[in-house]
Parts: sequence; C-alpha cells; structure tokens
Amino acid sequence: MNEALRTLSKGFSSVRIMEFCGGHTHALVRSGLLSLLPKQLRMIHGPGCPVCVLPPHHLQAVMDLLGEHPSLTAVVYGDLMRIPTLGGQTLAQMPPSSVKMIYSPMEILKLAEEHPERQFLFLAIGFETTAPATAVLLKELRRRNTKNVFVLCLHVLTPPAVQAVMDSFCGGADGTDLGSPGDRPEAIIGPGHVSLVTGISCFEAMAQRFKIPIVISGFEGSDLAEAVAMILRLLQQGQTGVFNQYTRALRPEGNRQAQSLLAEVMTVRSSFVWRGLGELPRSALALNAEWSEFDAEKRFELKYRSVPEHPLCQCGAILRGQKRPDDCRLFNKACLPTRPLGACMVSSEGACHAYLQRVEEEART
Amino acid sequence: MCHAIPVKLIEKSGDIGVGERGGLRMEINLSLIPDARVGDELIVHVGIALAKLEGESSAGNSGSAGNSNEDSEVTGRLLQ
Ligand code: SF4
Repeated sequence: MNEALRTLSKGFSSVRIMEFCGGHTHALVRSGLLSLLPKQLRMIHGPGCPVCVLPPHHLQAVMDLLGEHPSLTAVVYGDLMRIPTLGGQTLAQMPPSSVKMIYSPMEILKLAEEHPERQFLFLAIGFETTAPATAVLLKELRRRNTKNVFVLCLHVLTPPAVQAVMDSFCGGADGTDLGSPGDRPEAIIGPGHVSLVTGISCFEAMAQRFKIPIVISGFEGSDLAEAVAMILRLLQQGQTGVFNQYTRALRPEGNRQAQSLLAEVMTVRSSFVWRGLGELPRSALALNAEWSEFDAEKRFELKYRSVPEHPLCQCGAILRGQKRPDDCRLFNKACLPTRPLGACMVSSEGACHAYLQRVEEEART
Repeated sequence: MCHAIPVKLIEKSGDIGVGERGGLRMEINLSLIPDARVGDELIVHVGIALAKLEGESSAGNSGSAGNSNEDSEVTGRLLQ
C-alpha cells in the first residue's frame, strides 16, 4: 500500500488532507501511517474529538451544581473525568458519590433503580455517533417511568464543524485565524462512525461548495491508507463529491432507525459555542419540548461562568487545523496525559494525546 | 469517544443481545438494528449497535450519484 501511495502521490507537489475524526488521528499515529506517508502529503488534524470541542464552562456548571445538590450524582463518559476546570479541578477529584463513570448510558437505568434516593444527571456529549444512545436511554426512562434521571444534552453535529474549519482557512469570523485559503484542505477524510448514523449525503453540500472529495473512512490503518489512496486518485481525476471507503459497515443512507429516534427526541439548538471554533449556528442538539421532564436544563438552574484555559494551551488552533500539537510549548513538557493542561491531551482522540504516543514510539525505536 | 467496535452477536432476546469480542462478553442494545441475528458482526458504540458488518465482498459502494463504480474500481486497484 505504501508503494501504491508513493506512486500515486508522484504527480503532486503537495496535498493537504484533513482527517476530521480524532479517532482517525489516533489510528494514523498508532498504525505508523502518519510517519510513512509520502512527504508531499500533509495531514491536517480536524476537530472531531467530542471532549476537546466541549467548552469547559459546561463541566464547571455541573461541578457547581453538584456542590449545591448533595443528593445529585453526575454520570459521565470516562474522557470527561480529567478535563481541567477552574483552579485545575476535575470531576475525578470529586467525592465518588457525586460522580459515576460509565461506558454505556444503559448503565444509568440500573444506577437509578438501585438508588431511588439520589438524582442522576447524565452529561450527554458526543457527535451524531453517540446521540442515538442518549435517545435510546430517554425512551427507556419513559417506558420505565424513571423519575430520578436528567439529561444534559450537549450533543454536537459534524457538518457545521467541518464547515467552520474549512471557512476558518479564509479568516474566521473572529479574525484570529492564521490560515489562509491557500492552506485549506484539498480533501477530507470523513467520519466513519458518525456516518453510520447520519448517512453520507449530509456531507455532499460541503463537497460541492469547496469542490473537494470527501472520503468517509473506517478506522484501521489499512482503511486510512486506502482512503488516502482514493483521495489521490480522485484529485488526479478532478472529482468532487462524497465517497465511501468504509463499505463493510457504512450504508449510504445511514441508520434510519437512529435518525428517526433522534428526530423524535431532540431538536437542533439555534447556536452552540465550541472550543476553538467559536459560536456556530445550528450545530448542536437539545431535548425537544416533548421530553422536557428529563431535561436537566429545565430541571436545574445551571449557572455558567467563564473558565479561562491555560494561556499557552493551543488547543483552539489545533482544533481548527492551524497548529500541530508540537507547536505548543507545553507539549510533552508541562502538559502530559498524566497531568493534562488542555482537553486535547486528555482524550485519546485528542491530537496532543495522539502525538505523544508518536513521540513515545519514536523514542522506543 | 466516537470509538465503535465490531462485536459478534451470540445471544438475542428482544432488543437486548449479548456480544462477544476477544473472549469478552458484553450486553448490547439492539433497538437500532432490529433485524440483527445471532452470528451477525455488529458495530457497537457505547453499548448500542449502530450497524451490521457485511462481508467485504458483499458491500456495494456508494458515493455521489454517478461515480460509485469508479470508486469501487479505485479501491479494487489499490488493494491489488
Ligand atoms: S499540549 Fe496540552 S497545553 Fe498544549 S495544546 Fe495540547 S492540550 Fe493544550
């Protein structure tokens, strides 16, 4: 495959390809592909890391709420446990009765039944991949007539984020972006697992607007190598549109059951603030009015205050694809997975975390 | 967090199944893949099955109207 990539890339002096998903960044590093790619190919790491794009004021508001409600337990995915908030405090430092870590939202059903005296607040984060699990949970809560679980729905949508990154290369709305149209990705490796839910047509408008090929890829190193090869071939042929490398799992229409369940339970927020990308219109989901009895935003008064991030942390620019982890002065020095200073070092999908693995691999070889 | 894994379905009772991967067993919610059958390989994310894995050969390609065949050809050639 490497030989094929080398042959294919001969015709190009340089090609910029953005992989949207943090999972793809991780796989590129883990498989060694990132180091083996022909030098003309420049991978731009996208913002597809759910924990990384969540601004810390949501976590802070939940931590403040836990302080006010001793009978409340926050239920979170593991990646959120070590995100620093004000004063470097994390959920992992809270008393065990206040925070429970889960792998699946279905675990909340048992927690709620076993502890009727407590209330549970589920921090529902993640892209379209994860939102259906929240919707399945909500249906089950209603079926069981559960009264002590509330959902803080912070699910975010992929297409507006891809669009925001592409736009930011033309100078973002806040004028802080370093990129120029000439740095903009010429092709995108699209999100395989998001697309299992959404299908692939939601990326078509973007492919047409920016006149690029978008290849939706699986998550093995071999999938990514193939996706890159497909992109080179498509660029050679001057083709734009959305293409499916992940054919063993991904149907072009996505998962219709999941789509209709999401439409039944959730609604699109008019806007949402992302770390690094700023405020994006229609880029996140909330529970719709039919489900307000489970809506943590309706049940509790969440007080938002600003949470300044480490002044040297470059997470924002990294999420916009305009800096790399090793451009950050704290990378692999003050900021390490054992004591992360920014979200991109916490999650395994964060670019800084992935790059650190690369540094460690290189040190071993 | 968007991590999803292939899991083999070994038991099914209504919307709930048991999956196996690398000798480990886990409960899987099947409500989004209602036609899942025991023996199917499923892609599971946070305990919920999101898709069925098809054999590589049986999976058709897709893409923008009109270029799907081209696409499979690209893939085919590159994999040789
Ligand atoms: S290395 Fe740490 S401080 Fe630097 S950008 Fe990444 S997460 Fe932020």
